[in-house]
Amino acid sequence: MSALLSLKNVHRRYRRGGFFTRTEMLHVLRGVDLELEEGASLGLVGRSGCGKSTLGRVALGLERPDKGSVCFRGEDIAASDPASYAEFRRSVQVVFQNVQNSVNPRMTAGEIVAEPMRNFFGLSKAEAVERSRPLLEQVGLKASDADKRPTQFSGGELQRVCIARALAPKPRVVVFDEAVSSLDMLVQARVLSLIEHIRDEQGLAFLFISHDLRVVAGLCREVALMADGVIAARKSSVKELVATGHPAIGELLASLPPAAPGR
Amino acid sequence: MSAPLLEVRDLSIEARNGTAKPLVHGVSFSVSPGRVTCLVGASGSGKTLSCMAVPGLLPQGVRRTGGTIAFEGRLLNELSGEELRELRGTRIAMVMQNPASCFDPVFSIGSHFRETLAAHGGEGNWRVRAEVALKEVGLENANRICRAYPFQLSGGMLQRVMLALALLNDPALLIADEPTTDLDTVAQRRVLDLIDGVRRRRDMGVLLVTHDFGVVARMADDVVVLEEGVVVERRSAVELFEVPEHPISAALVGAHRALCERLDLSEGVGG
Repeated sequence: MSALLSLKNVHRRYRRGGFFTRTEMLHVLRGVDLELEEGASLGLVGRSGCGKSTLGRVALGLERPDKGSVCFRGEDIAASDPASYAEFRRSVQVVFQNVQNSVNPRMTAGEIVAEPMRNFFGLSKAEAVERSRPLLEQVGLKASDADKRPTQFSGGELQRVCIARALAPKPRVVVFDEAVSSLDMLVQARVLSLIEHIRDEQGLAFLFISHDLRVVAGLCREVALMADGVIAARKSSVKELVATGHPAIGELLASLPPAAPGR
Repeated sequence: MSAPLLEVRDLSIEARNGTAKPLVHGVSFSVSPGRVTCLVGASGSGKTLSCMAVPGLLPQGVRRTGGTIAFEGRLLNELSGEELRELRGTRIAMVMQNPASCFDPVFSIGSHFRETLAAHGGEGNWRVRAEVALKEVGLENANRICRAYPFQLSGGMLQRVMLALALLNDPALLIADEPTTDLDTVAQRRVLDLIDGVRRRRDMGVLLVTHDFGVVARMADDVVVLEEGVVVERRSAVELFEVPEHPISAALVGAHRALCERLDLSEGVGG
């Protein structure tokens, strides 16, 4: 059986500069091979700027690779027919770091969560908003929160709205791109346990992108290290990743702040 | 212990048109030379407002309604706007969370150095001063950096440039509001090490605002825990981590401990 989602020798370049200065090409992804099985929970760690988020965006179909392919259930999404492309877009959802920027401030939480259901299931607005209520409850909000607007939520609550939206079209994979990085510690802990709960309950596959080894450690059954635009290693725990002795993982590990003061 | 550099007493801050309860109420804390005081608390606990009140930079629509702020023997709350402006950038320096918004995108990094020195009694050649300052924060290629525009540098580099700018005039007090929240852990460590090194070399006092107890553990001598605009606990960092007294502090320390324990690397790998 083929993997749920697989990236094969994916390359992605960006042009930087221009207008006033000489342009240069940034070769961000340099041949990424990555497979995600049904129900997998894969952490993707690496430094800022190593290409983690670009990889996430390519896997979501938000960007096209310059070379290589992204396959969903073995079928190249660039060559798939409209029906299976729609199926891919429904099945692969995302939660971003910057929650304020990922919701429309004019819409209510119910409308935000309803949008993918209207798109993919052809529900009427009223119907979809009604269906958003149990989803909001599932992520620890109240059904009545569907009538509130983004400004009436805290950052952590809004991140829950985004998680509910990602779950709404019944996806098979959710990409979390630094989804808990800007939350304060108590809120972060709560959102992490929500994600763990969803993982155990629904058997979704995860791609959890983070620079913080501590966050990834308890959450993912596998961890991949990204460095220099490729997957440098993939192991079943952070511990095993550390044992590879790759300099990038050593750097990430050494940078973790201490658990308690000790000067 | 030496006399405090900064002593804030009974600080209260209210919204101008607000009839609701004060945003910050009766908050007291101090910073001594060469020591780090951390203001911690959840989002919205008033930690940023409390520290912005020190250099007189409260946002519009919010004002200080009570309390005193003593710095180097002067009461900052009695100074005129002009006198406060004199102190900022010379004796009191600030570093903010979002480096991208602290730079003017149409000016090169070099112009920022030139402007800062022109505004705050810069002596000598700005290029030389900039080079020395950039070297202190670990940026060797001063020429290239001065020619660059803010968008051409990474977040970690910008944060270090901002620190270099803040330290130009040898301040006695550095106010750092979530200086590493937008950075990855590697860049975070570098910036924290830099602040710590400068603190030690120059005996500079540091007022650090953060929600990350990892940063507190790494940096703090004294910790002030805020909750809904009120101080709920004030301890040395070591004591706070050992026996947090207030439930809020205990929850915050507990969440941090749990996060650290997720990463079980026993059997001695790495580190």
